[in-house]
Amino acid sequence: MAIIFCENLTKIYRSGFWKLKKVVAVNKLSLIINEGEIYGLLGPNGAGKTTTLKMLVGLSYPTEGKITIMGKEPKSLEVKRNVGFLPEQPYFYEYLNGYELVYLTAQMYGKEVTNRKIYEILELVGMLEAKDTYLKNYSRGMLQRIGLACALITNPKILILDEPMGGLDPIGRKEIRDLILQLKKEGKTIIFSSHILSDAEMLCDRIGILIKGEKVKEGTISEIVGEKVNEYEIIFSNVAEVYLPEIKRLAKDLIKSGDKLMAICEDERKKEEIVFLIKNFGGTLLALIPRRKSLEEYFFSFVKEKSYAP
Amino acid sequence: MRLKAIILNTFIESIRDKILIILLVIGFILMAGSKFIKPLALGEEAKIIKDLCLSAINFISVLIAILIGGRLIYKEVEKRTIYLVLSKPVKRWEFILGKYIGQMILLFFVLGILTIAFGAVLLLTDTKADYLILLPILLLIFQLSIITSLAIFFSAFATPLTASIFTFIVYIIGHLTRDLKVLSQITKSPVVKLIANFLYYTLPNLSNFDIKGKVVHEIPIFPSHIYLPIIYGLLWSFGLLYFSFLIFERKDF
Repeated sequence: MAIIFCENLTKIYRSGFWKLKKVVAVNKLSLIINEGEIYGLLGPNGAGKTTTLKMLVGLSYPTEGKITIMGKEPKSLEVKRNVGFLPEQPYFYEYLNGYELVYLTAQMYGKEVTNRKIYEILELVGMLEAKDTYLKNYSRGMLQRIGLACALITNPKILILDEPMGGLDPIGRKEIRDLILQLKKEGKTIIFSSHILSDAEMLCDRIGILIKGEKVKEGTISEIVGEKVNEYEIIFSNVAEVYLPEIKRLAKDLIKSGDKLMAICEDERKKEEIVFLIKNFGGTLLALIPRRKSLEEYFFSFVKEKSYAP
Repeated sequence: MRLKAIILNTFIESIRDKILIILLVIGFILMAGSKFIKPLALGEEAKIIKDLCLSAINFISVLIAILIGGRLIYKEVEKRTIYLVLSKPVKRWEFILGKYIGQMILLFFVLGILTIAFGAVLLLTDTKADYLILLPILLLIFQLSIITSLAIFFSAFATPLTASIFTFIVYIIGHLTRDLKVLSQITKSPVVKLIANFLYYTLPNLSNFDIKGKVVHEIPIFPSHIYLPIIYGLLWSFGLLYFSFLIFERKDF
């Protein structure tokens, strides 16, 4: 069941001294996001992702078009009570500590929360130990985590996250990914923007690609990238140096790493031939990995192809 | 509860602002200075001490209202902390009202401290005073209410520096409005007359709130000298806050 509808959403900013110059940040964007799904909004810088998310949470108003969340306008209090928002590069009141910020956020929802609930949320995002530290001393990753705690404190049905993995190290990213998946299991609807396409690939049920304010592609990862195997990685060892040119002739690339070798080829027939040669030359086949095109590869080739590169 | 959260946060933000401490210290120094003027006062020491202390209270609280008030809204926009607030079930008018009330609580707090310091100066200098001495401070609260609303109004669309400068200019002109009226009557230039009349009728007349001279020089004060400025102050404050709501309601972040 659809929970978020955007219909022909357009946002035009006016700039310059006399506000005569028009900048179209979002152009006739239509989105339908279903309850319980994770939807990724992807695109290069200036694509309109943040503007779209800000319109969804009522921070910005559309110039044209309509948004309904749970059947109501984004600025309705009922909608806001059910939406948790994490802004991009979150800034918070530096004179508060982590605990005070989460408590203040809960009060803004008009809810009195228990200390236990605050501690639970802080623990969930890995910030319990830093609860008494002033926010001015937090790193970017810590701000991101405390921002997530604020978004989650009232257990909202919908989470709108702008670059939730930004500023996090690989371990932090994995923790946030796991958290997002856990929240999905709890039935939450999550819409997020990201530059980190591998994360989007692992998390999203569906993605929408925005370029210059327009939605140019939408669908599941496999619909967009395709199920077709694009290349094979053949990892082997124990093949004498003299036989390698024979394998290299068939492979797109041959990479040596320690005593192992990896041949990459794009063709199923060539893959069979390489495997045959390895066995024939007395080598050991260690792994044969079929690879689909990754979202990242697809994204870059798509953007380049459409001459949309920033 | 939502309004309470914004009020409390505004108060905490302002009370932890270094400018506040600096201005309060300047206020104490100014008031303490009146003790040293006493030998030079030639029998008018009581009037001079009262006048100097009341002026110091006025000066410091107005500066706090302008400097802290001018940054109230803009800082939230500039630092993007407003995203945290307005993405929650908080109405935009609640945000403006919460900021105003939080700032007014801070000014009550400041006036409380400065009034206690004033009392201490009166005691230490053996200066006699009755309850009437508190009336200028009472009216100052309503003047500060207008200044805070002006600062919020300007900071809803201007930078903190511009908002503070605009508020300061209106404050200065607001104390000269009677002169503007006289100027409009005696000038022969139609342009000067038009400008003087425009400023007189569009800007708040803040001199209505200044009864310091009357109290210090023991000139009789009538009830209308108190309740009319209070009503005037409330009307201006509500009017300015209402226009701030209107600007804020349409603003994109």
